Amino acid sequence: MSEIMAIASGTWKNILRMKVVYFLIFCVWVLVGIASMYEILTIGHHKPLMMDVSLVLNAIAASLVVLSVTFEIPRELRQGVAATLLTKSLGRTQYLAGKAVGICVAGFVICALIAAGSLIIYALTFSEAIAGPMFQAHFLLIISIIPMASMAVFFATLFPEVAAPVLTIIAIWFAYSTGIIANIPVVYGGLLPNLDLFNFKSHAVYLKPIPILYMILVTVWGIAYALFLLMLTSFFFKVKDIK
Amino acid sequence: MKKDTVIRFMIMIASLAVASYLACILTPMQSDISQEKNFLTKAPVAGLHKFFADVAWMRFINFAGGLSSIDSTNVDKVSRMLEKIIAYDPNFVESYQSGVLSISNADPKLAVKLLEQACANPHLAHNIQIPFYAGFILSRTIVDQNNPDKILSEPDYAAAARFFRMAIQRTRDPESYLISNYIHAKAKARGGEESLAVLSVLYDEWKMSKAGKDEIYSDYCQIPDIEERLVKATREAKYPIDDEGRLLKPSQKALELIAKVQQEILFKKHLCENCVTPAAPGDKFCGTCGHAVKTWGVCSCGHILSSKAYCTRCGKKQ
Ligand SMILES: [Zn+2]
Ligand SMILES: [Zn+2]
Repeated sequence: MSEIMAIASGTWKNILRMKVVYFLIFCVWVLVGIASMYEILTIGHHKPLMMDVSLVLNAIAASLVVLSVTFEIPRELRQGVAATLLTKSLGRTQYLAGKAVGICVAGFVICALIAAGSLIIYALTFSEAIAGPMFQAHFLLIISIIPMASMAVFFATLFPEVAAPVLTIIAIWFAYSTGIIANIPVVYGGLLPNLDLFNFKSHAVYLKPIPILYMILVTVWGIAYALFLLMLTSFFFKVKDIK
Repeated sequence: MKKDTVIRFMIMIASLAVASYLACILTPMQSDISQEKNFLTKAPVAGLHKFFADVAWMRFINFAGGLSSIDSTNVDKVSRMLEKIIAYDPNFVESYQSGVLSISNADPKLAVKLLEQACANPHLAHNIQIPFYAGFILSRTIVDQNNPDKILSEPDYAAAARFFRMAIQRTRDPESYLISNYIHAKAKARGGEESLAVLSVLYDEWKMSKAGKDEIYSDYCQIPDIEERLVKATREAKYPIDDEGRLLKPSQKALELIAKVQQEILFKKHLCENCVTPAAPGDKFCGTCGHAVKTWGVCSCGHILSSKAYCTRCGKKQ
């Protein structure tokens, strides 16, 4: 456990130490604020627009944070970082788990900052209280980082530096677009990730609350799916040659 | 096999089972919570439907706002833009209220189709304007603005009445214009002399409301001020006017129905049999037409009664 946490804290500290991350968070807040100026262009639809923009940008931020691990893992494997840990068979699983946890923590912090800032900007701009569904939509978006992180670790372990991020992006895009194949829950949500389960962006605009039971179950789903994918990755990782 | 391999394998299988099981629960739960998901486009937009709807909406405003009018030359493009917004966000009220209405003169059939879809959307189940617009479009003859001889859509009064009724059923306190539109569409659907048709529609609605039918499943709805409307319709049926405003003679059928309505429904209202104006207590002749009326509201002592329990002149209990 301590090894996992050591790797995890190394990963999240690496990301959260970068000043550019906070600059980008600031940029997101600015973009959310700019939506209030679209009153005429949208004939009064700027309020939902601001909420939508904040959710879309937060989703993009979540994917970008997750994507960073697809650069980090192949590089570390190539450079032989943590080589001693990787020689032990248990160590490899711990390495993967540590990476996934680290990226989740970094993602939670960054996306929570974006969500909090956007909601405060919304509340101040329209001087109205934040409704529950707005929190819920952002919260589910943040939880979706858990399965996304495991997807990124999966591709980062199996593919080289250039292919891994591209494949991760395609996989995340595909996992959100459940409409394109028949929605069979065991396939889509079991074997393949169904990130659309976290997608309640329209509820933030139409103020339709999401049942707490659903929120809990979908969080458990995210953790269970991430665990499955990490274990699967660990089998591939074990047979992989590392210099 | 090593022990840790077995453990990892077990964890993998167990978590896969949990994830699959939860997915089987969550998928139907989600389509129940977000019913609009069933109406959404299947295009792979990574769950960003709502945002794409906003972008499509701005493009629509930008394009449609630049047109001097929406007519047969540009309606296809405008319609495609609208359909895109609705496919991304079927709950987007403005796209029906301003969007679909803007194409109703150039492509009324498509407008009605889109409004009908919106009527079935549970999120918009309390919206009165959407069924009203559909009924409004259906109760008109719409011609091509560039070619007045080309009729784009003929009125379909029966369908219009169905939409107006839906609008009435969506509110506890329907506005007067909704009810007038409903009654007139229904009367037009019956055909024949209009004032007679209106009266017969109202008479049927009254009868059905007395029978206490479940209004959702039958073809009538609760009309709050039906008796006042019956009085007015009776008067209009008795003195029908033509398009130029000339007085006509009522048909035999109309007279029969008027007599029936007066007898069954309006007898309590003390109306003049001739001109259907209410008579005041104590009146012997109609103040409007001079026709003799049945006197009412008079004590046996001859004093005109107010609505009190005893006669104020002789003290007799009423
Ligand atoms: Zn009279
Ligand atoms: Zn008296």
